[in-house]
Amino acid sequence: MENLLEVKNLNVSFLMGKRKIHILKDVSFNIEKNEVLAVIGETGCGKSVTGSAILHLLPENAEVGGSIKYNGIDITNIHENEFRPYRGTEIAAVPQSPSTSLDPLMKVGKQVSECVTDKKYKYGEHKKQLKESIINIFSKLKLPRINEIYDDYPCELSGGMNQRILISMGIVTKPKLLIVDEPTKAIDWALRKEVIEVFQDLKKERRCAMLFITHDIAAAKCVADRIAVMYCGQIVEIGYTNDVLNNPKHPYTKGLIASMPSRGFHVMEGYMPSFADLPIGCRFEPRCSEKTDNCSKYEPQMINIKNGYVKCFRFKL
Amino acid sequence: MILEVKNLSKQYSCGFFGLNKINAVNNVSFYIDDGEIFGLIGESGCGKTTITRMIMGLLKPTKGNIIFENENITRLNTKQWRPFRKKIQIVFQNPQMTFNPRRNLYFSCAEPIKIHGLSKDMNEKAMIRHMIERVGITEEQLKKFPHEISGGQAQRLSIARALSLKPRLLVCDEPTSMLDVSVQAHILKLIKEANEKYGVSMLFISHDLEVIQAMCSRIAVMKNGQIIETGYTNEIFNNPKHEYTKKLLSSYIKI
Repeated sequence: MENLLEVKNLNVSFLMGKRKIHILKDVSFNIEKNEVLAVIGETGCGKSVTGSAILHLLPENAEVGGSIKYNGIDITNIHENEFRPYRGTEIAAVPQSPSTSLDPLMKVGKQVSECVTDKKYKYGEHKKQLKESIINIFSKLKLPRINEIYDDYPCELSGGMNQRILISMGIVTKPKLLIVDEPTKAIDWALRKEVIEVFQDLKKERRCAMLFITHDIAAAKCVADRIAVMYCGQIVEIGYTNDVLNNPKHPYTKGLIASMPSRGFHVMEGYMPSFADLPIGCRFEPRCSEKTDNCSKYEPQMINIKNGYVKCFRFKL
Repeated sequence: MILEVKNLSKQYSCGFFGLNKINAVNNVSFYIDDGEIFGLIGESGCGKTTITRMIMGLLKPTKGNIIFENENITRLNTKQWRPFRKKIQIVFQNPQMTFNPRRNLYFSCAEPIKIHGLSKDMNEKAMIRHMIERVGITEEQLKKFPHEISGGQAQRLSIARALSLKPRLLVCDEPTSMLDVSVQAHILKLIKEANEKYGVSMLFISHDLEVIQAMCSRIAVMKNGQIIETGYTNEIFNNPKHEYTKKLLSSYIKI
């Protein structure tokens, strides 16, 4: 199938004073049309940075290397003016934590319509039609009392409802690629299922491709076709959802899955190293239980497997 | 039986002249046995935290009684509460907010020991060293400030601090909802260890069914300020009786 998004050897580094701190190193993945790729990993491993790099939302001091291709066009370092037609209309984002992403002083309906009115040249919709289409989206997301909710403030809605408002902001422009950042974080168990169902429907009905950034492995399992496991700014393993979860190849993936309560919460020793002083060889080496002599000296190379790759010396085809 | 809660209610007044009454907790009764981990589940806003606050004596209940080790602690004043504070400790949801942002971590960890005068027969430093060793934190890290450490480290430290007073009952108010899966495993293991090694009884609050199933021997399900079902974990997970419990369990995603 055709690749919608192709990321190759993406490197991101931040300039802190005179020092350069490398966050992402050689991140490569692709997303096909109507495919959901989940990125899982610990907090601070660079998941959100990947999403922001694609959307050109990184701060001024960031340096992006490698290539990001959208529909065959290189969008890595293009000028802000050239990128603007992509952001929101072609590639949209659902930011994390609804409590901080929504404007508390603006009615939610207006916040959603703002995403479209900014791009009037493309849609040219009448205000009334726009309101109808937004209410239509609300009803598809199964929000209650949809007609009144349009004139509610974010504080009047629950966390799960606010999360769905954010999702509707993402999909109101009918993007081809949606970048979803931690949609189930700090959400109640019952609501979590609803949110997951919303994404499953989106995938089925809207046929929209997604980059699903999360640390909730259960949510990733329900939504994603493929899973990428990230550790310390690198993708250590990527493959089909079932393969990754049931037959993990990288020791980190094994540890991550074994630490889930339903798998007996076995504790992984140690912590993720700081980005300021990374180990020379494999970044997982200090915590790895299966390390060899090579691990601390050289960086493991990509070993291609079916629809993905693994970065580990121990892995043999 | 270490703790017994009898017909506990809490009513908040708000609105015009406080005429609008809200029943946050309504006629709740349960008990916790010695050395047991008792789980409380329910959606957000169902009154779980209000119950913990009343047990900790941070809120005065409108009605009902809380009996801890055969003593009624419902209507004690601050001075009378003192000896019980040592016996009942709490671990909060957001670990970083429980440390004083302007003092280093050593100060925050030593504070309960100073307040309860435990350092008389033993060196304060040695006590703290002993207590942080158990949770895998070095003395170097105690010189830092709360914002400089990760959420998982802060949560481990707050567990260590709570356990330093050798409490009889530990209340855990969603201790892992802000943390990652891998860090969560660390924290849960620590809590379980405290229960097994030192026989601390626990009230464990969470909305994560997976965690509850792995941790608790008995659970109670809450909705709208009331307990709708209570029993052994296995029984409730395998054979839920109430409609709401069934609905809640259907949202359980198995991996």
